Amino acid sequence: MRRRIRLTGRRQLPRSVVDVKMFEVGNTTEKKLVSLTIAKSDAFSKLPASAGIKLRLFENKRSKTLSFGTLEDLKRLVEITDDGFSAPSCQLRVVATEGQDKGLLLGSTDSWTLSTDEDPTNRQGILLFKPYDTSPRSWKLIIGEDTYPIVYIDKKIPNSRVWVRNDPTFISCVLPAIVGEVFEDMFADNDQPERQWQKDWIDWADTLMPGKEPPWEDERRQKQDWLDDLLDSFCKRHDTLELLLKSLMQEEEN
Amino acid sequence: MFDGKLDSSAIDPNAPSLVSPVRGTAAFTPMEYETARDMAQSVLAAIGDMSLALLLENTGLWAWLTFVMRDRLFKKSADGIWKVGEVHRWYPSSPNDWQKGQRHLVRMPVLLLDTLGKQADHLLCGHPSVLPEIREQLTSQQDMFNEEFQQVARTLYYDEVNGSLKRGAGGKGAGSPRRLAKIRQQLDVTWDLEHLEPSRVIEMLPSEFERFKPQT
Repeated sequence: MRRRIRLTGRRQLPRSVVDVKMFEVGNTTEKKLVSLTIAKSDAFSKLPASAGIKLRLFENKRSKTLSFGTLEDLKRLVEITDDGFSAPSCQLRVVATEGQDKGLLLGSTDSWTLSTDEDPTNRQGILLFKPYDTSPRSWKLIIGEDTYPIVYIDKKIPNSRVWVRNDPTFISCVLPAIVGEVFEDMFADNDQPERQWQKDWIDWADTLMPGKEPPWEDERRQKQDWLDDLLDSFCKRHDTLELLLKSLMQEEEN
Repeated sequence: MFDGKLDSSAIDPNAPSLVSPVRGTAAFTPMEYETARDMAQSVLAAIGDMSLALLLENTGLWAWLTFVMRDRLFKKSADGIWKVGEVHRWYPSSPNDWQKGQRHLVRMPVLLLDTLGKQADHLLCGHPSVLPEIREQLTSQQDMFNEEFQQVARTLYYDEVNGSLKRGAGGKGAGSPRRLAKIRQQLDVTWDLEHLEPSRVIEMLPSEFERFKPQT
């Protein structure tokens, strides 16, 4: 069994101890609220009631810390006054607010991506989709530091979350390119990636090519060969060429 | 053009066939700038009340600004080719790209001034054409983009009297910005640095930073 040992005294909290949601209010996307409720109170039982509850957000080189009061006086709802956050990376931090230890970090979670996305399967996936203004492009892939890669789909495309899951052209042509770009990004470091989202992507690749590990320290050529094999496996698994051909034939018939 | 394949005189940066105005912003005329801060101020003035956050991913805007200010940002080699350096200095990568997003010579100064104001003095006091080591190091981690941490860095490295970096602040050794970035990561797993007074954080720094600490 793997056990994490922390010498700082900080408690490593699982993400599931809180339920955090971000949602937009009104007809515009200008006002965003974040709600936070404690889902597993046991996780906080040994922490002082005066401990501060904070949520740290990052996106596009902007950072913001939302304060939800203290454990004994928790604010449920906080407004994000910065319109730059659409799918920020976030981290829960529990902080001592009194006495000699004021400012001491008592507990924290790993980072995860906070999204207004209402689709739960989307939130748990290794690739997130999000409507956004990507004009003049129809989509854009953003690979962040600590969060799962996000594909922004231009918000003018109707029902974009449904579209990316069902459109044969997107699935056949765009998705393999996205997979390729994500692994190219990981290969750029020449070391075995250590971030959680990267490990999840490697685990996913292992389901397509069991036992065939990415050649992290090899030359570019070997990496490209491995990636080609992965994309072949992906396209074979999802029958992407057939899917596209059927769609094109249907279009012709119509 | 930045690749040397096309002469810059071949491009009219105001041609309607090539560019269109960004709605909500004012006209922008490049001036002579002594510092990256002056340049950022001038761009922010043209952006006006428009939200900068919504413009950060507008690749065309930042590439256009780089083009119209090319004389201020780059030098030419003897054969007339622009010495532009690494591509993301002039062509913006995704702002969320944690390794390259901070390298753009226009977008990053504008973002820093907009979000940090005076607390970005130490990052923006150099000439606009220079991507200083201190900016590269102290914008390399996403949780550095807050006033509290940058106030610590400003106190350590910025010479208020001369409006420039203190001697040694551009180095890579003991007490340098590179070391501060490393120490910040260590402190961040024990302390909530935003919760502490910047003076308290400075007290916590090891002795290698003594030469930069304010004299009491």
